[in-house]
Amino acid sequence: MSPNTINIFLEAITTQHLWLIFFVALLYTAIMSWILIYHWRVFGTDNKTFKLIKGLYITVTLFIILSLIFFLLLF
Amino acid sequence: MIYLEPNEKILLEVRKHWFIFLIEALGSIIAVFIPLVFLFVLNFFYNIPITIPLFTLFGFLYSGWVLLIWIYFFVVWTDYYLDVWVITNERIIDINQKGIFNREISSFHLNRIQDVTIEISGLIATFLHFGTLHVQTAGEKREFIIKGANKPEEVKNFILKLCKDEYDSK
Repeated sequence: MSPNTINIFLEAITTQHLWLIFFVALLYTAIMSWILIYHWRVFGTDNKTFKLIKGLYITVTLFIILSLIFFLLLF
Repeated sequence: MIYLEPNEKILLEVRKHWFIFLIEALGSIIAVFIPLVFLFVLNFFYNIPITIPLFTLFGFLYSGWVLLIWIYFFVVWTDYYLDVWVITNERIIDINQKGIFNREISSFHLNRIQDVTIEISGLIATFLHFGTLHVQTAGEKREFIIKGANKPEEVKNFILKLCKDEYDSK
């Protein structure tokens, strides 16, 4: 692999490609988050643990999505 | 959701040991570092400079990768955490969570328990206190098993004590 190969790859990638990847990732995250939160709410026996886990999950997920947006705008 | 009978109380929840979860989640922990190793290899072995466009593209793709792994980690955790034995003052409810959309629930009353056996094998299981717990009942489904249960000796003693209390109260 040479620097030239990387440059060709970088030139081929456009912002539109990244936005498409972003929206697919966002859709997948929304569906999976709904499934997970549904399971925790309906099947969970220990509400305290699930509240804590839900908070952690949502906070970190939002942080990762913000970093995706940050790099997308920077590109 | 567990529906309890009137006057029924949850006394104990038995789950697999955290080490079992760690083994299941190990793939996702390792996967987080794979793109970083890839970037290091590109830079160090192929002498490809980390330019600003490359860095931002990598940052974007890496964030997406971490997001997928983060979700996968919680799928594994949900599978682990919802796979539980709920011990109440009247019965044991065996919830067998297999993946995210496969769930099997069965329960048996304490007075149907005939035998409780534990099996701890291996160095790690001995030191970390986990093993297989077998409960034999007089019912149609005769044996209930939880593999990798946390502190099986304590759980066995707890179940036997409950059975004794149940027997004495009659």
